[in-house]
Amino acid sequence: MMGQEKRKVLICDDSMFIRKKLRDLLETEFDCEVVEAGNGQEGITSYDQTRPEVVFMDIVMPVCDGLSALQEIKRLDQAANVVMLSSTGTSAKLVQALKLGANNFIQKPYDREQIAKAISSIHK
Amino acid sequence: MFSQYFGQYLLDKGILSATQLQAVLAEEASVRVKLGILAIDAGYMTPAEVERVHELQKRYDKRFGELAIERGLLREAEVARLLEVQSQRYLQLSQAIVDQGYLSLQQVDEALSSYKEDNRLSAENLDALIKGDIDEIVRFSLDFGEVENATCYQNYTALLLRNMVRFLGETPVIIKRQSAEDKPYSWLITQQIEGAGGLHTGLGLNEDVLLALAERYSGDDMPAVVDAYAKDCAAEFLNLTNGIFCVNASNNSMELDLELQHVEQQVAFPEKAAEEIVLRLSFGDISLLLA
Repeated sequence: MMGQEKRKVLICDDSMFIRKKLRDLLETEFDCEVVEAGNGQEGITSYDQTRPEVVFMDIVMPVCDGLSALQEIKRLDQAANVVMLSSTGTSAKLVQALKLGANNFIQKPYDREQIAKAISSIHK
Repeated sequence: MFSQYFGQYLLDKGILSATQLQAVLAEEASVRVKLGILAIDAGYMTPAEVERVHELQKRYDKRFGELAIERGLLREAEVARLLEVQSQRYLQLSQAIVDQGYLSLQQVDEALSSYKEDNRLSAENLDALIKGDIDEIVRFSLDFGEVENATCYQNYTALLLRNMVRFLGETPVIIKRQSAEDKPYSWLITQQIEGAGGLHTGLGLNEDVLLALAERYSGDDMPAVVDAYAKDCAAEFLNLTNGIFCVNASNNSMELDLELQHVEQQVAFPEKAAEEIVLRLSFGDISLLLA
């Protein structure tokens, strides 16, 4: 059987802890190729260079926050699949993110099923 | 929680030594049964259902019974029955003290009476300690007097304590509450919650405690000295707590925003009129700072 190309995923979060744990999960359980960015600005640059299939985007980050990064990524690529992954899952943030074109919103702490659902819904 | 509070009292009064307390708490912990286990034992839930509720508890800041009822996994009467069974187990610490030969049954009984009297514990207070009702424990343990944000501080403290139970596997004890002095902490983690009803939050702790907190929260081994990853893990625990605080506020129509966390060494909490609540965990003390 021909090996399928790995799905490329961008994790944009200023927390090393979140990046490490999510990378481990995506690589070991979902066979993804993971790219990391430590703030919104790095996320935009990285998206433009690597064009991942899915982005997991934090909101509160230094330099450039996740909502601004989402807006810019959507400007670069309207079809970008961006899942917000934030500890501040307030209704205002949720509405704002969805208005800006986020595909999904997961409040931290996430679990495996939420990540699985987020990935599978994007690939439908 | 009763065991931790009563145990701390026995230690403070010199009735038990630290080593003796450690031994009896370890013995008591080895037989302590959580509500989920009791639910499986009673045939009310499957292990997978209990595991699912534990996962949900990490996100929704609700009690096990409450979530299980909401999801149709338990009926109210079943939860009441399980809580009753659980509350009868509080005497296990006393039993462990007697079994180890540290005190006689009579001495344990006298110490328990003194504990209730010294702390002016009502039957309801004792019931809250036995059932681990953190909201109620915080309410009667922390009197913020005339402080403007008293209720907000109590709610925040209760949330942090619940997260220490859920994410660190700890049963913290409230040691004291005082006005925060302008003193430097070995390590200070801070985060501002912006908006009407917002808070400036902080955790003051020493090097070993920061490393233990980071290790417990992340599940990763930490180095002997604090590095960038340890700082990040400890700060993420505060961020997680504050995120849930914002969500709870949002559910009550209050919109709050989080600023970035800061982790600094040898600095004082930046707010002048701040409250300090000292919490004792198995690996050391943490000062919760609120303003």
